[in-house]
This record gives sequence, C-alpha cells and structure tokens, in this order.
Amino acid sequence: MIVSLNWLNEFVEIPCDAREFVYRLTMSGLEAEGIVCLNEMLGSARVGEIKDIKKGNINWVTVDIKDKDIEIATNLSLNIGDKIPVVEAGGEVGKRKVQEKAFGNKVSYGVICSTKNFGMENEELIKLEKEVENGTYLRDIKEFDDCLIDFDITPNRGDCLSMLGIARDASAIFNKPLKKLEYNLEEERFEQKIKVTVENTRDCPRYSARLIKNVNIKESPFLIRFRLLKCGIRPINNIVDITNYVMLALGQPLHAFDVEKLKGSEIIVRSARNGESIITLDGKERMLSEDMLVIADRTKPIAIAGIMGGEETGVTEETRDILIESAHFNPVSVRMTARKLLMHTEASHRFERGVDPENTMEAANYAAYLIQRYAQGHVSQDFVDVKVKDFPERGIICSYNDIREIIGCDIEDEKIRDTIKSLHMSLEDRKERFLVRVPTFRFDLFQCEDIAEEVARIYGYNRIPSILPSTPLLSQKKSRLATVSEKIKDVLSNNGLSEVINYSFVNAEELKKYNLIRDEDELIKISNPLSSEQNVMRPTLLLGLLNNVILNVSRSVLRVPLFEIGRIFIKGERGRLPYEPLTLGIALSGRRYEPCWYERETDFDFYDIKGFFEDVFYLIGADVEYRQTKNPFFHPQKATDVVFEKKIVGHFGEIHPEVIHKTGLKVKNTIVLGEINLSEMVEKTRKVIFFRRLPRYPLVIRDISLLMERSVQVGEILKTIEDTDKHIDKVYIFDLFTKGKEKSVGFRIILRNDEKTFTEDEVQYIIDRVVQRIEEKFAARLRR
Amino acid sequence: MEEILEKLKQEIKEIHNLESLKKVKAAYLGKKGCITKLLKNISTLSAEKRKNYGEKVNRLKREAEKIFSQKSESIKKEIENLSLEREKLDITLPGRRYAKGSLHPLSIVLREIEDIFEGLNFSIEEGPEIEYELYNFDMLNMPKEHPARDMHDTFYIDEGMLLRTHTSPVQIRVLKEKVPPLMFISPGKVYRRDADISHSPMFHQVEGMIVDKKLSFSHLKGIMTVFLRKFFGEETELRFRPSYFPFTEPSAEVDIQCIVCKGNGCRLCSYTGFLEILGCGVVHPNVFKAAGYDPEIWKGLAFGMGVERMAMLKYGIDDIRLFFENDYRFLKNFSLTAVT
Repeated sequence: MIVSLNWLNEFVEIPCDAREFVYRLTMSGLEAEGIVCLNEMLGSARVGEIKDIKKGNINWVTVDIKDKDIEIATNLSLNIGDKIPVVEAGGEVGKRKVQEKAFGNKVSYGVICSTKNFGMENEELIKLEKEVENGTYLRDIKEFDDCLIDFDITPNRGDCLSMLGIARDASAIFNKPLKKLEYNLEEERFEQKIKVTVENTRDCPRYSARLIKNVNIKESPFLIRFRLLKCGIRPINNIVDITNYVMLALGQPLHAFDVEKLKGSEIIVRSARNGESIITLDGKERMLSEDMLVIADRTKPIAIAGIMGGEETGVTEETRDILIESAHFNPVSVRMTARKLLMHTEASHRFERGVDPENTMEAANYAAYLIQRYAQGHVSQDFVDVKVKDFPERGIICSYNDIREIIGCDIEDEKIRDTIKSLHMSLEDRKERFLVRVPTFRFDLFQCEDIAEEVARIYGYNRIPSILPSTPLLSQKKSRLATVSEKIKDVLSNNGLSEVINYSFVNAEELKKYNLIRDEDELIKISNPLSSEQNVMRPTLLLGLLNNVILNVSRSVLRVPLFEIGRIFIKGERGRLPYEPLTLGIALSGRRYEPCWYERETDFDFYDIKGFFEDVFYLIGADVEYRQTKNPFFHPQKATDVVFEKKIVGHFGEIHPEVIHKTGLKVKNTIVLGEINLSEMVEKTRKVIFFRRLPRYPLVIRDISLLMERSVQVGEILKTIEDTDKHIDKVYIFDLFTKGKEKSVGFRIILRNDEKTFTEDEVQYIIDRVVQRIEEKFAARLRR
Repeated sequence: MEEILEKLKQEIKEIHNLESLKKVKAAYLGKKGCITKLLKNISTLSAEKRKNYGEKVNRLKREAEKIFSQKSESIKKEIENLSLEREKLDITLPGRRYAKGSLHPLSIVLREIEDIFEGLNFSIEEGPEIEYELYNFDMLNMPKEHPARDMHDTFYIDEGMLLRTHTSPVQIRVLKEKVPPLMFISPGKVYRRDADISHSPMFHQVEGMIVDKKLSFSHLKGIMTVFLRKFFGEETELRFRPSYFPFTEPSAEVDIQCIVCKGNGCRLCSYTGFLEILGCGVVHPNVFKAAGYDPEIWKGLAFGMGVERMAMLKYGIDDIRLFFENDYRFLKNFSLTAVT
C-alpha cells in the first residue's frame, strides 16, 4: 500500500517530516518497506511540450521548454501537444546527471522523464495539464512536492489499505484530529430507476449504488491521474480512475457498470449457477460455480462480486449512463472465489481483509461528486442502499489489570483509556472493568489481548521493560537420535568429510533414470511443485549426493568427500503421515588425499566408505552384517547391503558403471556412495562403555600367513580365528597381496590371558588349532 | 719439559680423527715415546735429584694423558655432531595433517542457537516435516479462509497434508503430549513456495515456546534480548516493533542494529539502520483452546527465526542458494569453525 503524504494530509495533519513519520508508524505496527521522496528526485526537471515527433527505430521528439526547442531521443510513446517532464542535458534528475548522448550521428539533448526517473517502481509516462506553462520547474508544482511511502500492511489490518485508514492510525500516534472530506453533491430527478435485488444476503449484507447519467468519458484531471500513478495504478479514463481514486482514498472498492448494456434495469446479487461463465475486464473467460457470488442482470452475470467486473458491461468511450456499485461482501466468500479462480485484484485484496460496511454510501457519494465534477455527470437523487442487517459495534470487556498483566508494564488507567479512545473506539468504564466498542472498520479486535496490543503499540514496545521469566524448569535431555546424529557429524567432519544439505525434494525422472526407484507410485508427490526438478519428496539421499559429486567434478574439484544427515520420506498408509527416517549418506569421489609429498596419489574406493560407516556403527554400538547387494544403482561386485537385526538398513559401494555413464561423467571417475537409516539403528541399540582392566600378564603376538583362493572371504576367516579360542583378544590383517589365482593374507593374532603367563606350548597349541581350522574350512595353507 | 707439552699441543691441534691421535699418543706415551724415555731416565739419576726429577716427569705424564683424553673426547663429539648434521630435516616442509572436513554453516549456526537456549534451560523438540494441514494452520488460528495464509506460500501433498511452512506445528504436538510448564525450542527444515536470492523453497527455522502461569510480553522481551545479545554480541542494539502473526497477540518483530553500518544506513539494511531478525509474541488464546488448554490459566510466549538469515549475517553470505548448491569449495570455508 503506497501512501502519498500530500494526499494523506487531506485526511490528517502530519506534524513532522517524512522520515520521522515513517519511523513513528513503523514503530507502532505499520511497517514501511520503502520511501521515495519525490521532491528530492526532481532535480532540474521542467515542463516541456512535444512539438514534433519523428518515428523510427528510436523516436525523435522536439520539445519546447519555453526558452528553446530541444531534440530528444526516447522510446516512450508520445503525441504532439503532450506536456511532459523533461530534463535538458547538463541538468539532473533522480540524483543523476543528464548528459548529451549520441544516437548514430544525431545527438539527444536531454531526457523525457517517466515515473521511474523519480524513483517510482513502475515505468509510466506523466502527462501534465495543458494549462501548465512550458518551462515551469516541477519543484514549483504542488503535486510534485510529495513523499511516497510503501507500507507493508499485515493481513489483519485491512482497515489500513487506504489514505483514510492510515490517517486514522496517524491521528492516534500524533494525537491530531481526522479531517472531514468536504464536498457538495448536487442531485437531479430522473424517470429511470435501477432496481437491486440481493438474493444471497449472507455473502452480500449491504449493496449501495448510485445512478449517474450523461457522463463525459475522457482523460481524468492531472491530480487524479498523478495520484493513481503514485500509488501504482495506471490511469484509464475518468470514470474508472475515479472508482480507483475513491478506493485508495476511503478503502471501499467500487465498480462502474454501463447502464445501457444491462438487460432490464435490474441488478441481482446472487450465487452463480453451475456452468455459468463470464468474460472479465481483463478479457479472460472465467468458469463460475454455485459457491461464487456474482452480480447479474436479468440474463447473466455481469461481475464476480468483489473481484472483477465483466467486459460486456464495463465502461467504454461510448458509455453515457453509469451505475456506481459500492457494496460490502463477505470476506470469506470473496477469498474462496478469488483462490478458486486464481485471481487477485485490488478489490479482492481489500474485501478479503474486511471493508467497513458502514462506509458504502459515503464512498458512493464521494465518487458521484467526483464524477459530477470531472465527467460532467448528472447524479440521480434516487440511490440504492440495500442493507440486509445492522452492523453493530463489537463489545469487548477488559480490565485495566488484564491489560497491564498481558503487557507486563505499569501503564496508568488514564493512559490506557486515552490510547483506546485515540484509536476511534468508544470506552465505558464499569467499575474495575471497562467496555470497548470496536468500530465497524476494524476486523482484528475480538478480545482483551487484542486491546492490549493496541495499547502497547501506541504506548511503544520499546518502553516496555525486559524481564527474564522465572519458569523453574530443568531442560530435558535431547533424544538419543539427535545426540547421535550430532556426534556423527563431528566424527565425520573431523575425519575429512564435508557436510552438505540438499533440498528434500527431487526430480522423479532422475530417480528413475539412475535406477533409484522401481515404481513411481512409491513416491510422495508435491501437488504444486515450483518446477518438475523438484516434484517429489526424496526417498533416498543418494540422488542429492550424486548430484553434488557431478556438480563439483564439473567445476574441476578433484577431491569430493561429502556427507549428509537428513530425513528421507517413505509413503505411509493412506491419510497417515509418511515415515521420515533420519538417514546418513556419504559420497566419495576423486583423490583420497589432498595433494601432498608424503602420500601417493590414489582415488577413494570401497574400503574408504566402509571405514567411515564402520566408525558410525561402532559409535552407535550396532552389530551389522554385509551382504552382496541387488540394488541396481550399485556395482554388483563392489557394493554391499548393510543388514541390521535381519533387516536391510542401508547400502554402500561403487555405483554401477551404467549409472556413471548416464551422469555424463567419465567412467574413470569412481564414485563411492552409500546411505544408512539412522532412526532404525539408533532405536534398537545402546552403547555402554565400561572400563576394561589392563592386562596383568604379558600379551603374546603371533603372525601367520596363509595362501588361499582369491574368492575366499577374509571376513569369514577373521570370524573363524576369533571363535577358535577365548584367549584370542584381537586379530589384525597386516598383509594382503594376490598372486595369480591365489592370495596371501597375513594375520597378526594377539593372545591375552588374565590368569597367568602363557607357556610356549599353550601358545603353539592355540595357533596350531587356528591354522588347522582355517586350512580345513577355507582350503588355505600356511606359508612357510 | 714445558717445551714437550707445548710441542704436543701444537701437534694434536689439527688432528680430527682418533687414528692419528693414537699415533701421536704412541710417540709421546708409547713404549718408545719421548715421555716414557724420560721416565726411564729416572733410574740413572742420583737419589736427591731423583725425587725432584721424578715428580716433574710424572706430572708431565699426567698432563699429557689428560690432554690426550680431552682431545679424544672432543674428537668423538665432533664425529657425532657430524653424523647428526647429515640427518638434517627441512623444517619448512608442511607437516602431515590428517584431512579435515567441515560442518555445514547452517549446522554450525543451528548448534550455536541450540547451545544458547539449552543454557537458558530450554529443551529441544522435533516433529515431522510433512504435516497435517490442521496442525500447520487450523490449530494455529489460521483457518482455511484466513488471509494470513497468504503469508505462507505452501507446498501441498494430497489429503490434508503439506510441507510444514514453519516449525510451529511442533508446538501444537508438544502442547498436546506434554504437561506444562514447558520451555522448548523446535529447530528444523521448513518449506515455502518461493525462490530467489534471499528466499529458498526449503530453509531452516528455530521456533521456541514457554508455557507457564504468569508470563507477559515483558518476559518475551527479556528472553529475546538475552538470546540476541549472546548470538550477535553483548553490545547489540535491539528494537521491538508491533507486527502480526495469527498465533500470537500481541506480536512483535525484533530488529537488531545493522551489523555492517552500525545503524548509519547501508545497502544491507535498506538504509533503515536495522535488520529484521526474529518474530515473536504472546501465544493467542485460540491456540491454547485448540490444544485443550485453558487460556485463563496458561500463558505462553512464542518466537521464531530463520537460520539461513542468521548465517548469512554472521558469515556475510549474500545469496541463500549457496547453502544448498553444496560446492565443496564453499563448504571448506567452514572447516574447523566449531569454535569462533
């Protein structure tokens, strides 16, 4: 909502400069988003008259600025005789110097100014009155000595969507009385009458209208046009402009119908019928349904109530007689209809937020007066005012103490009383309590808390003391899942991985392309995604991580070690919320080490990612098993499923060469990826750390090397060794190499006995048994 | 005899190895050495001369032995030093460092926020990211026909479900499941249909709530002031100004003095000198009613902030999309930043 201070001054006296005004209103709840001080932007702009136009790629115009004619290049569309703001080269506008500029072999000696030159948002031409003398400086024209303030009006303050509304708050803040609009409406008697019937009284509790005959459709006077431009509305013709002007002034949206185009001099306010449609003023056909309110003539809808009028009955250059509609529509009905039709207009914006039902006649009369004055219309003395019900002022009972307790500040009774009254509410004292009557233009005050806020905001939030509450509470411990997840972040980031955060939505097509899902029906779809790139909730972290790798590789990052902890989304039962397990994903690609002098350059592989995951399993205290994966995203021979409590809780390994091929990366880029479901594992594990006594007798260390087929799984041998004897404390693999079809594996076995020192025989016995068992089970043989 | 010693000293001066020293030693103290000869002369002297002479020669012998043993020590040390010198390292070569990764900047800022509130005795609560429309809007005093819903551009999943537009539904869940008094924050991802340089369709929020019997707007000011000064520095200037949220009444926005221009006005603060940082208010009675609490008895305070905005201000990041692009070089900026 853009406010012109000049215009606002017609409603209330502003006793300070624009910046102070903005600060005071912002601090009492009307936040200003921007301020344009027009008077500081004018520079040397003055009035020029277009004398000649030569059209071409660039239009050349000759402009008379009284003392001389200047040639200017412009892309604005102008007519001969137009008076427009112009700045001669060497001058200044919008705090910028204007210089001569050559176009081809011709020089432009200035600029024609549009609203944009003065710092306003939309680019529109400003056409001045014909009567203004050429060469007049704009700073000498009253309407240019103005400041425009863009207020961000919160949805509860529909009453502030007009000059009058802002003036009401300003009058409370600055303690200045509201000024009354003074105008004199002359009415005439006509035979013609318009009948109005309101069928749907719930959605239209009041319908006022005035008939005006023989209007002269033309351009509005400069004052109206310029004020509309300042507020971001493009002028059309005097009638349309006046309806908009009154809406901006008083907050009441109006609509003008061309009476001669109505079928039978009757207006019916009713629900639309299924199957009906209307072509609205913007030229679009709108399909209507019976939950929508329309204004109709005898035959068909002529406007969608509170949103937009119909094209057919709209005002045109030929229009002679008009009906000005000034109605009150149910905010919910307007909102639902506008949403359904995907429409949002200045009118619907106001009706949705609430328009004063007791101001319809005033708005209609003010518009009628302006039309009489600027369109030479003749106003019929018969007016329409269908009022289905009264709109009583809401009563709220409060006590001074309630107000003080909500705010937490000792504001005196009298101050509270004065503040409430200054906001145009009446107040009756009733012993300890008082009754506030809420005026009909406020739609946001229902209870004592609301009144407390009104008092607090005018009193000033910054004058309220800051106190710490004394709620005596011990905070509860974080969930194990949250604690574990933070710990994992620390471990992985301290060990070289960088944390990423990806969007929770992904592209369904991409999931399919990379074999990450089998069936699209498993996915949780977003009904209104921003783009098809983000149309489903991620069922896996792998796609996001893969895309991170692709992005980084494409930007020549040679080493990409990443992890993410976030939720994935698995469809639940119909109508129930989905399952959102917290998931850990890891992606490794490229060089294992940063370039350095002490390590050979090698690439990440399966055992790197396995190491990271093993750290995590150890941290959680989870025993897992590894099983060859059937997941088509992964390399069939270089990846594994993670099995925990007989359930697959994750998978990791190299991705399938076919998937790499589809990414467009070179096949030599190995990418190791994986993810595990943390929620699943953390719920079922517990980690107890209990001190283990230091060995009292010396540990014995023995190395054995075995030769075996390459296909033998070393993990199985490890388990076999550990199971052989209770004195085997730990087994390391210290050596591994392959030779032809065989491989050689070196095991270092640590023996521990807490009762006595081992004898050589005892040690040999254990080692012999170990060797014997491995030889039998794995067809391995000891290397001598 | 003095001459012998002088000569000896001269002779060993240039010797740097034990072999040569041994030879010289033999020439003086060996079986045929000159000092040994002098010793042998004793027997040829008369008794009275013998004593004097003997003392002198023996002193000479001890002196010589001492000189040799000292020299031998110093040669040994020299050799040792030489061999250590050969082991000299280039101490300017970079050390072996284990690779360091990094936490995401949003994780770092989230932790910082959580730590401050945990220090103020707040608990941490979480809830689902896909929520019932009922919890996200209706129970928070935002029925379907309410224009306040326009403030939240919402992603819908079918059947009354949506991507939560704030973490406030967690408050409804906690109110329903736990027993007051309550004091908790709810951090997490939230979603709004908006994307540009300062809006991301997914972002992070921390919202908080206190529920107790005696609470007023002034307490809210107290908590917010403590939190913001801990986060942005004890000197930070704040201002509270009225605003509107459907679930609180009275409601406020909190601005901090612009961290770049210190209130003088700059591009970051759109020349206002202040930065909007947080929304808060006294819990609306309708929210309590929806959750089954008697608003005559229970009072509540609530607040909420965007984590991205806090992180952007803290690290001077000017484009919100960088957080989710995950360029490794961007992420590495935050290596070892757990302490700042």
